[in-house]
Amino acid sequence: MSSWLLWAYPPAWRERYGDELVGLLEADADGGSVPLRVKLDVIGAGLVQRLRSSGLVGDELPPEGRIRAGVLLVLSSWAAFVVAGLAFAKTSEHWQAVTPETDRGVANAAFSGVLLGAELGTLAVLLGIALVARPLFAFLRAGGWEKIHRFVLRAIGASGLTGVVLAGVVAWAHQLTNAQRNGGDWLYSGAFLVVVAGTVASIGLWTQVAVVTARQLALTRASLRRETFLAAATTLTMAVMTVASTIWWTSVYSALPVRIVVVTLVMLAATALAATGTLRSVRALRA
Amino acid sequence: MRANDPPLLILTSLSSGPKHGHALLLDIESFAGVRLGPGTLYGAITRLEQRGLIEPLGADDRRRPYRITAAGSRSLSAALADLRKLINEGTSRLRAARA
Repeated sequence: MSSWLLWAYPPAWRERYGDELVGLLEADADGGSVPLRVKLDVIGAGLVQRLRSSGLVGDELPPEGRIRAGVLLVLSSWAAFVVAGLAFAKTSEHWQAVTPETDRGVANAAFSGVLLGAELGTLAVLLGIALVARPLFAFLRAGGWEKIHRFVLRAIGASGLTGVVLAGVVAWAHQLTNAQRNGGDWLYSGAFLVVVAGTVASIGLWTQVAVVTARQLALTRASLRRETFLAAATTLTMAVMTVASTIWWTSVYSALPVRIVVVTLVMLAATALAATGTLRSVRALRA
Repeated sequence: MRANDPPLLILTSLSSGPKHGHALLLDIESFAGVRLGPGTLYGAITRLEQRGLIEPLGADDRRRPYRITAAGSRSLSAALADLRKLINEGTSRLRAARA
């Protein structure tokens, strides 16, 4: 059976064309197995179809759908950026204590840039959420909770579980030495990694709640225009933070830790995705 | 539109009569020498149907034939005219270069 190959397609597409495509794959394979080249073609086409259905590629959706898709891509990129930002915050804590005062000039300015970007970016995202409060309440009053409750409960579950583990890890940390907290105790390190994984999962699940909900809100063109403006502002703050954090670590570190390289790459990728989303929204606004 | 564009190949194939997915793959391979992947084929079928250039007929088991619509025939004619212009231009420039 080749039906597992259809996982990449959106459910509505599978409903309409799934049987036909599976029938074609089986006829094409003529009783044999489906070649890898064909599997990759089907999965790749499924991912493209998913992007098309979400409004991120192509012009199948009306301009409003494409504007919304662009804004939601910025929101998702911001969530990825927050994960990188948390790693940056953990890496940079107490950096002034271990850096000679004479070497701190550029680093101080860059670090302030990161903090300012984080504050402005958070403000833009929160403002974007506040601006859709009225359509959100209308959606919930019209029975929208039924459509999103399983996503919300999943996110609450992950956040709650992470909070409980975090509380345990914090209490445990008070009984350990500095060396034990920084890699000396493998059990503690493992628990810390569980908290990290839980935090990333919680951010991802809450972002999913936001995306699933926002796709179903009745938003006016004027509202989408304001959201696009805020998405552009968020993207700008992400670019500022990426540049400022790069300047910070090049001023502070002589040998570069792998963790910083990974964090910077995630920041760069998230900023590039956000810029793509902003461009998508702006172009659709002009259509 | 490029000559090996999946939508153009599908419209060309359907211009001689309705066909289902597997028949389309075999026909396109025979006249264009291109073996489309099943995912690529159905991606193009989806877009052509959304644009009203082809339409599905009644399904026979899991095989659903598609036929070209009037809008699809007009779109195919326009694309072929564009390609013909390109061919004529290229041919005349080659002749001029050889002369």
